[in-house]
Amino acid sequence: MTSIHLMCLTTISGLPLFTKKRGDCESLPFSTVASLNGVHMFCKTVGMELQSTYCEDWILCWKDFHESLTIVIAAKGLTEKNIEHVMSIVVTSITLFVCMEDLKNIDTIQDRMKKESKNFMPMIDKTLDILETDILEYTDCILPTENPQLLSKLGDFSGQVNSHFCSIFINHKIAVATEGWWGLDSFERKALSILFCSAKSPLNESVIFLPSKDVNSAFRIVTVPLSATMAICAICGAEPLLPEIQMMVQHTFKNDIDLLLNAEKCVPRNFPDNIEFDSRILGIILLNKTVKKCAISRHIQQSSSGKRTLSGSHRMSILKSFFDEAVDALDDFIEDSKLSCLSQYWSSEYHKCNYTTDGEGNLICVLYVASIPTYTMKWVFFLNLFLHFYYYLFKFSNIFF
Amino acid sequence: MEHVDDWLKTPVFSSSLSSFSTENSSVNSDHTNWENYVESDGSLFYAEYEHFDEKPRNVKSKTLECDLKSFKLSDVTSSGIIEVELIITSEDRYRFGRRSSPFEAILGFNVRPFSDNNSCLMVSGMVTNSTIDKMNLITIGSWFKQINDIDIRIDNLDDVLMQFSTPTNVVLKFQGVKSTDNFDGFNKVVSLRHFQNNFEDILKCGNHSDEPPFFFIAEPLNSNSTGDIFFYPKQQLNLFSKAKGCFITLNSILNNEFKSQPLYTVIKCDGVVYYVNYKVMKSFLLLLIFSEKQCNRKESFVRSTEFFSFLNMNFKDTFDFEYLTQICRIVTSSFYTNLQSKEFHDFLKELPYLPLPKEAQLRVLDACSELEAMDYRIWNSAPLNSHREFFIVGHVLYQKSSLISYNVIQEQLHYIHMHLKYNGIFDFIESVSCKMLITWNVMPLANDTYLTICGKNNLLFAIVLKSYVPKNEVNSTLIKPSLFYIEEIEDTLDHLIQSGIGSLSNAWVDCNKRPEIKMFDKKPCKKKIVDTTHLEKEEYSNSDSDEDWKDFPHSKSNTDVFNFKEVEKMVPLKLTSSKCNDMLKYLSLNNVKLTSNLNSSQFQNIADKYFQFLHNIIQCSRKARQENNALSNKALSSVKEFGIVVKIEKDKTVAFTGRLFPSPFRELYVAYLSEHPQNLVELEYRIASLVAG
Repeated sequence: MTSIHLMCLTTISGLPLFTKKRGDCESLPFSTVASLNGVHMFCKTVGMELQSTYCEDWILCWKDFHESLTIVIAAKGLTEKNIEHVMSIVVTSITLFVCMEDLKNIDTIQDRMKKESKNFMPMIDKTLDILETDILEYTDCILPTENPQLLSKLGDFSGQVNSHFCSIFINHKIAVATEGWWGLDSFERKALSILFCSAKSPLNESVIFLPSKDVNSAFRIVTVPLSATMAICAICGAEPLLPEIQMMVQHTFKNDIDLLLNAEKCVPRNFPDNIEFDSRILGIILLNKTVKKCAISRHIQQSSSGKRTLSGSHRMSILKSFFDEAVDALDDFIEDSKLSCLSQYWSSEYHKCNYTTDGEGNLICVLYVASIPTYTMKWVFFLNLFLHFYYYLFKFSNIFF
Repeated sequence: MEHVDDWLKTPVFSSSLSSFSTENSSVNSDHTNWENYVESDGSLFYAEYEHFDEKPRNVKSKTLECDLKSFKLSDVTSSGIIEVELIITSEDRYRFGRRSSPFEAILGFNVRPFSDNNSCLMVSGMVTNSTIDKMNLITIGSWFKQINDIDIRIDNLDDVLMQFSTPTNVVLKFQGVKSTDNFDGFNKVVSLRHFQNNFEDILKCGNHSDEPPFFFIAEPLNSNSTGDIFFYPKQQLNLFSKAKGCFITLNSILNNEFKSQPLYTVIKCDGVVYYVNYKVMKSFLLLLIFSEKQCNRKESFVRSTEFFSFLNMNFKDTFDFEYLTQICRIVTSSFYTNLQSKEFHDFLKELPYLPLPKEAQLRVLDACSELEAMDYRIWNSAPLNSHREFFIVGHVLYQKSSLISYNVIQEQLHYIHMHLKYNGIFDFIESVSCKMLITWNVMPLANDTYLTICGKNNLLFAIVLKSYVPKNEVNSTLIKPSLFYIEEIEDTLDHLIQSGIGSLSNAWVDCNKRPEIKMFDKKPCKKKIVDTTHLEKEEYSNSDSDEDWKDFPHSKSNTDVFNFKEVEKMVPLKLTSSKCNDMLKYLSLNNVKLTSNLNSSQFQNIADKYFQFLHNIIQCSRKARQENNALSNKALSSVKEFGIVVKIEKDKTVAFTGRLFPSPFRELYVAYLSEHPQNLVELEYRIASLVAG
């Protein structure tokens, strides 16, 4: 069970901006928050930078951002890398709404921060809600068979809106996006996805900042629903106005209702219908480390027999643990670029996991039933998955990977 | 080893006990040297050694182990006569133990015949602090001519000495040699404090870096007085002396608010990451800090846990800062001594185990059993009733820092290992040529338990003794080292050395035979000599059979010595099941660690890294299972096998695999060429059988 305390303070004065908590833990008294920030500040005065502290079950991390925000996180059930990602997403969520110039004088813009917190606070809440099931550093994607057609339509729409940053969401995951969107900073992309997830209404219009693109200019993000679970999103300037954008969306997709309906059917599998998986496979994570995007499926079988012992969230939590503790941690641990890890597996009493990579940044983590023998797991993987995905990756290489 | 009964039947002054009558006379004559150095608290640390690269030095030594043959009677006949008055009695015969020669016990010096005249005796050594030694009149090599005008010869010395049954004033006459300065001798360490104070000089290791390999702070939790804080290095040089308050605050917050004890903090200073390890002990907060240059965070944590546990065992109520400084200095020197061999297994908490061949294991066990089985009480009934009695609880035998044999409980084994490691004894035995090491101290783990360590060459033999009579019944008299027991332990160790256990262990480490490991780098192993024709014939033989041992020394020959060459003749054992040998490295962790002993190479270092990564995951699972306590990460609690396939070179991929075996918990890590999958269960079974020889 994950528990987390999140504390955000101003770096210079140590003024608490907000604190949040999730999981089975008591709220921290103000004095503790102040002490935790105090030790960090004290270390700076003696020329040291306090990074993290490991306890028997808790991990505490401290980090300053943009010389104005200090984030302190105490978490149970997360890795230090996870915590750093949470920090980055929290800060990016703030910088979407507060420009860097203002952030430098954070002690003087308390009222402004309070007002903007209505925008970024739901995003921070959402981030804390998805800790156990989401790969935080990666943009969550969905892979319907209709993606090529959707991308073509998105290209038309992007031209009409005159925006390089457009995407189509299905069930809060990105189906297709323009090159400009993929060129955004990975945490900005993640924060935008979370912004979309946490929005109360699918039709939305907000003013945001994208520090990775332009530190001082504001952008406008507009989301227009395409269907019950689909929406199109564009980041643009002051023009065109929202009603015009709605008109453009209608114009672009007016003849493609079937396309949209078929694409929606990909939920909750998240993978193309035409790929059949071995019945012993329970879940898959497909990642691209270069672009930092991933597709996750915990409902991989077309027809659920109801005999599965692991629930969907449990499957995801195991796969995520495997990814966090084994796959993602290895490169940091070995620190030798000449050695390339080709595959990993772990087997436990209740499940088996396997991961393999093509050496070019694409990798697949698979969760199997425990009964599959280790040597079979390797062959099931190669015969069933790798061939499928290579076919798929080849076919849609210009779209997804 | 001679039997007690045989010894009891031996006449007190028989020639078998005369120091010049046996090959090992000089060794026996040194049995008593340490007795003068027993500390006031009953502990003992005595060592004689020389450096490997040391040429014979010109020293005036009182305990000579050198070639005395250069002294000739013809050289001294023209020298002057020296007369010495002395009070002697034959009752002193056993004051240095039963193996001491009669003249060293009674007269205070050793004698032996001249090389050019077998009947005349010369002074061959002095008993330290004996009356005659203190006079400083007699030099080594002098002719011992008369006692009270009775001419002394080799055949009448014992009889002459026996006459003085009551204390008698006698006049000894010597004729001195022309020169006394051409002896080479051994360096001597006579107390633990002396050893610790001069550790760097003894090991000839100096600090090679301006920055110490670690920082240590011990701060009282209930005091603000700076004088009570321990710093190593001292406060002015200690990078963390100013930041210590931060760690105290963190320790307090985490304990009070998070109900969790802090383990370590990661902190950056001048671009270098440091790991600050915490431990609250005896109302002190201990902080042990390593830099990332020395080790990674897991390694730093394992090292700290070990260090803290040593401190916990050695300090009762509070910390002796002087002793702490000594320990820190030893650890620093030790670090620089071992810098080149920093490997992953150095940072495992399990002790390194070196299972010798079955025959050798049996030999060691036989010798130890004989030692342990002796009922010393029989000795003490008559004619000797001057000694307390002990039970021998168990033994631990080391070759350098590798365990060869042990039969003590885990807690005691752990204590002994820590004691040897943190008092620098491992470094001592590895860095110098040790002629003799004897230590005696109280074991803090249980009442009335004592630890005695006897070391020679590269072997360390530790014996745990328990006082037969509880301490409070002996009117709390100080229990000092027992001469009888130490002599027996020394003899057992001598026996093991003579059997070739020491040289066999050395050879065993390098021979790569049991089991054989394939060389990834294709460089021939240092001492790998394999008869390939022999190998082919034996390739499919059952590894558990005794076939392999037919070439071993004892099976056919009567010699009692393991010969190094015999090791080379042995058939290597292949663990892997494929036709060719695909095993590149293995590491098995039970309570001890068993690993393929190959010299450090690039591949071995890579394998260590991957094993460590696997171990970090499997250890989580093991801990969760052992404590029956599910981790917050449930997926980790149930992992039992973890494997990684890595492309090391263009056409070579290696699988690094780790597995956790339950009941009893055992971890196995194996590296093999990935094209030939290995059955880990079978490998574990085979490796486990190695432990039995």
